[in-house]
Amino acid sequence: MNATAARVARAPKPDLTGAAASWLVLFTLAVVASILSSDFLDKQNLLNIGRQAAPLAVVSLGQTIVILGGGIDVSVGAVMSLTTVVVSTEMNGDPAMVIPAVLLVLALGAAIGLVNGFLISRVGTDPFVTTLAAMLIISGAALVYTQGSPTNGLTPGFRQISEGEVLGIPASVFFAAGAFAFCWFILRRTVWGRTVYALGGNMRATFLSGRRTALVQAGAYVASSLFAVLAGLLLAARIGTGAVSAGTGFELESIAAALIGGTAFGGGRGRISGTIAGVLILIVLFNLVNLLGLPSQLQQIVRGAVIVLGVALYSRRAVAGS
Amino acid sequence: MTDDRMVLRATDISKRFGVVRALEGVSLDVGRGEVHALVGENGAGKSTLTRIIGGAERADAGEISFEGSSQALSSPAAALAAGISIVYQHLNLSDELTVAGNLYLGREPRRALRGGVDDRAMNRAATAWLDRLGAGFPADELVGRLSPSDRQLAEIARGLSHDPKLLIMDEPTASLAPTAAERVFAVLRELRAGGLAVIYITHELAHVFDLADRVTVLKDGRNALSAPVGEVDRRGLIKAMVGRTVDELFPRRGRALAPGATPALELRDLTLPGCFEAVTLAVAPGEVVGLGGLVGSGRSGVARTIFGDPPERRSGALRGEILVDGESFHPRGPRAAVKRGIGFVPEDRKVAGLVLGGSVSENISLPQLERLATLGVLRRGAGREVAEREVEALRIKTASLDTEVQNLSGGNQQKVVLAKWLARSCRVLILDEPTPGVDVGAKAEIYALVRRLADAGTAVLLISSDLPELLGLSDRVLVMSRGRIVAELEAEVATEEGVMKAAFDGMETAADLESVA
Repeated sequence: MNATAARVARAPKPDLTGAAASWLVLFTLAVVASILSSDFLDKQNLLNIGRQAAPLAVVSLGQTIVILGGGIDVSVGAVMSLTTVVVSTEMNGDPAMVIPAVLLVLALGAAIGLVNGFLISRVGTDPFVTTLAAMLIISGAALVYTQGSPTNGLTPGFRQISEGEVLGIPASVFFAAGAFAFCWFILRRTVWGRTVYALGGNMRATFLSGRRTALVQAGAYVASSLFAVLAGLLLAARIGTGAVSAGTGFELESIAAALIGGTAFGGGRGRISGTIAGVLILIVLFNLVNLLGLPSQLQQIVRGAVIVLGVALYSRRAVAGS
Repeated sequence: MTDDRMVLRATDISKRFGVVRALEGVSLDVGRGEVHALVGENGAGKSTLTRIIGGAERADAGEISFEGSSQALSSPAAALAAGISIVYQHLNLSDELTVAGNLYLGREPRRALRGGVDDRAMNRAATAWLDRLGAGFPADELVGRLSPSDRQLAEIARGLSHDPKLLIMDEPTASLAPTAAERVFAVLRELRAGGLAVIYITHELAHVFDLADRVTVLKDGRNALSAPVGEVDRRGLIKAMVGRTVDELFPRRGRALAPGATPALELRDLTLPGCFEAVTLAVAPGEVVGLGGLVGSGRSGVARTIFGDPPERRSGALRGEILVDGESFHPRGPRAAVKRGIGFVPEDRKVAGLVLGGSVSENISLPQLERLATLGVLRRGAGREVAEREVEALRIKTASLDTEVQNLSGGNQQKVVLAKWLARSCRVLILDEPTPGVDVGAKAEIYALVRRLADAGTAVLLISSDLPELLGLSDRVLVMSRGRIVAELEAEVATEEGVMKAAFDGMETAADLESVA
């Protein structure tokens, strides 16, 4: 502890852990992309990137909340899949059923989040194992529910939440922006959000400060499930169908986006603006693979490489700061 | 002293971290069979210097010669191989291994034939060291199950088991029970007679005079004093460390209390089976009551139970009554306690007191977020205002309110923990070991602060293994032993021996009772 003087002097430097650094990476990547492919800055392509990014952005925001609180939620992909099949089946082409179907999936999401949150915060099960089990159960339930066949009950009106445009910008981008604003508000400006950060930093100290740690922790999983439902709705509207595998992969990509954006694995540190940069980095990379006509399988490799790179960057910063 | 008697000679060591000079031309010599105390305030450069000697850090300038050879000790492993062993203040043991496994990690005795680890030989070797240190736990116990005091003892055993020529100890007794510390000192004296050189870093000036042959004081990364212990006194040491004289470490005691006033905190026959029994005590507003005794005597258990965080999670097992301001209080949890006006500074600020990665203002405002919010929404800047006030009032040295608390010195971290509860203005404040690893200047400030709080009407329950602190700060001292209160002493006339005697007498009586039954 005697190197304190050195640390105090280092403290005032600008915060480069996370958010700011990932926006810099995104900007560099965009410049490189526009050089590699003349189509990158094409208006249609940019709108496409926005449409593609919206569901991932929404689910990653929820994931970030859980990770900030010291947990992880690998069930979000399954929740997205379940959302697409339930909402399209219940809607069944009837515009009058749009709102009831949406309310139903939101209720389902809240219930799943409550179960995850209860087990983890009260029973004390491990977050990864708990949500992994939830993922299996939810995927199985979705299969039983649909008998495995895709469902096509989405109304054209519902599909407007992704395909529609306002002022030339995809509607889903507005939803994602709204989700971001909401998320920013609850994390930065509410007692609950402050407590999420604190309990990710030191659960015991937070508990001994008289905070309701169990309730806040459970709330993070409810939030994450609800964000996953919203992401599932945007995804369903974009692909136009309900499919039991629609959300597969989103659990890993959302975790990756949060980590690339500088959120500390283990919690307590991070910003959701970084998560948005992380989402865009991932989507721009996938987009570039397509634009350059590279085999789509390459996306997987790019995905893995980017995750390792993001985590490596974070570790370096952590080591330098320790 | 001639050169061949010198084990370590560090000359003109300088080290910079960025723009900050951690060490500037510091020299330190340690001879064979010498215990050399290294003291100084937090941030004075003690740890940096030992890290350089131990090969964990490179000096920018200066020369280190060990055993007459000046080859650079480029890594901790090289230093260890050369005969330098370090016992750290912050525990570096693996929870999942046994004590013996930790002691001999990476150098386990092998079985002759198949080459596997010879657990029996390893346990035997470890037991020899543990017995010598008077440890009350077996060598095959998992480290994760040891109390902080026993872990520290295991760490010391590990340092010694390397048979070093130079042993560096960084605050080795900060979390040790006083009796265990005495035993460690006895072992060090034996080894010193056999030629072991020791660098002993401590904030406990009593230990310096007890144990050390010479003392070096660092201040702001420079040598402030280096002399045989016989040639300095306590006052001189403090002056060299702080740069000014601290006349009174302890503030004046409180005013006399009106008799018959309702106690702010009262316990009646409070019993938690397996932890403490029939504890009855009262703390009046404005009073500081000390709770002394050995580690494991149930002191911390009482404190945690009042705060709703009992060590034994058996709800319903708790018997007896807790009264706050004369009204019955059921300790459901920390939240209920906080609402009732109880504040708690827990033992080990890093584990339980602070969100280390959080900022100064986030930590200070954590217990009172509700007060800063309307319907769960925080008012703009409210947390910062509270934090700013406390940082100023407590003179917390921090670059800004947004500085992460892990970047503060130990004393300032501890002030942040206090600030959390000061900002709430508690009726009852419970302090569990409030000053381990805190330098003497910050200690005096913390003591003054506790007394000011008491003068303003707070009832303070102070748990401390630091006997001068217990006697100097309290109005009354209760001594616990084996889960019971065995003595009540007036702090003004009580002695350290009196407290220890009560603590031990209690144990013997309890043992007698058991043997009769």
